[in-house]
Amino acid sequence: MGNRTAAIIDTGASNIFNLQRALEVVGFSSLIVRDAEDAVGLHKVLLPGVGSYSAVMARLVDRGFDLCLREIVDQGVHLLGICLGMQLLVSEGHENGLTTGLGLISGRAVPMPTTDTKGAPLRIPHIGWAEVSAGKDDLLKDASFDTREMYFAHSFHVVTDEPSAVAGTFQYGGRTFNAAIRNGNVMGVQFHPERSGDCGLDFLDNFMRQ
Amino acid sequence: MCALVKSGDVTRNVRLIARLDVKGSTLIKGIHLEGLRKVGPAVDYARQYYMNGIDEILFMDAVASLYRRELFLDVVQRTAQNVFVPLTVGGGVRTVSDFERLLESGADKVALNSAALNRPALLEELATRFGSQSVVLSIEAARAGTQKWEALTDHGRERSGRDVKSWICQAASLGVGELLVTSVDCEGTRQGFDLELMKMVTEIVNLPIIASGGMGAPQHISDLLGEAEVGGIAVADSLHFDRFSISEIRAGAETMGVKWRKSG
Repeated sequence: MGNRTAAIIDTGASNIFNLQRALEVVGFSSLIVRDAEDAVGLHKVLLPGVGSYSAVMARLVDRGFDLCLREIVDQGVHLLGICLGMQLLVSEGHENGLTTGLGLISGRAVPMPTTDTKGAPLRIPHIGWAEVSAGKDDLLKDASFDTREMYFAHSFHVVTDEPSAVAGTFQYGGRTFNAAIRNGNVMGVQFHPERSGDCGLDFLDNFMRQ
Repeated sequence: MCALVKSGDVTRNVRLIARLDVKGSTLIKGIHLEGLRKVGPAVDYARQYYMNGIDEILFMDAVASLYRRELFLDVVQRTAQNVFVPLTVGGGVRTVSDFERLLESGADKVALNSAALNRPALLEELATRFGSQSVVLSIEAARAGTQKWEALTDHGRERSGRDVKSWICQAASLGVGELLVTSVDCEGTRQGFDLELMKMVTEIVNLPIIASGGMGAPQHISDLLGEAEVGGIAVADSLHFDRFSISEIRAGAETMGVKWRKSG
């Protein structure tokens, strides 16, 4: 337990086993937690997720995670949201109407634009690899990689009102999007570290070792 | 969502995808999706492609019999545990429960063909529940005339009577996240992709497209990208029979301007 073990929140409909296995190969164990109280006592919490913003958010509220996550983040626990999990960290999601998010980072999850900077149609969902510019964030940087390309699969992206919350960006269709956001010990990544080869595994290792 | 999209240029970042057609736990390969020949253990091949820098793995259950289903799920699971790039799985997916079991076995995306043709609403149900990004529509296209293709099912064994163009337009409106387009005519021939088919498909939808069938030399990749804005290129024969290594394919296409993942 303690620092070598992460809690992975079971948000339903998401592939938590691949994340669990990725943590295992970089040397960390994990517990799948379905209710808020099961996450208590762990120093690292991962919030994966795919699918519907409103459905997954409703499930989190139902299981008590909305209040619990705020509490454990205040206590210094490191929280990582992945893909939809990143989008749930912000204030609100705009997917078939408005859904209140966890509000741990100021921002909104909005649909990807349907055109590139030249006005040509952009293929959505955005599925594929993109280079992540790490900015100042140490977790995304590593001496062993010249470039950090990560795997993305999403139709929504996060915009934030806090420029200081942007921890990494990527480009698609000539536009710049947030690949990672951060507010203290809360971090969200749009890419899938468990499916991004060695770069992704290395990022998970950095997250767990911080 | 059936809009006209411009054709691509070769310098976009594309995914190199290893396609493994699997019978039970064995990787097989045929021509025109027929005459299947055993290659070796699918799990080992997938792991090797991952180690050699493939961008994505595609598993298709070539038989999809109930008897072999458990074995196939086990193969998916053992593969997912040892590759850390996306894994797309298709073949024999009939129900929401089949789809969910594949996700639980480690698939990141699941491809459907005949079940979707039989009941298109299934696509919408899956996209709502699991997100569009996990729902791949697999199309086995056979040429049926000038600029016309028919959608086949069951690994190219059965005809559906459905025109590929109208089927794609319908499916795109149901929340499908990606299209896997296999040319049955070019599959296994090593003579290049069906450029007209891929051009048509990429021009009628704004979804990401994986092109499959016909890759025999790196030149075929730049030929394809010059005609059609595909995001993924599925390669089977070239890799399985070691005609080209992953790095040889990448290097060969790079000399013609094709851009790949740098760390791949």
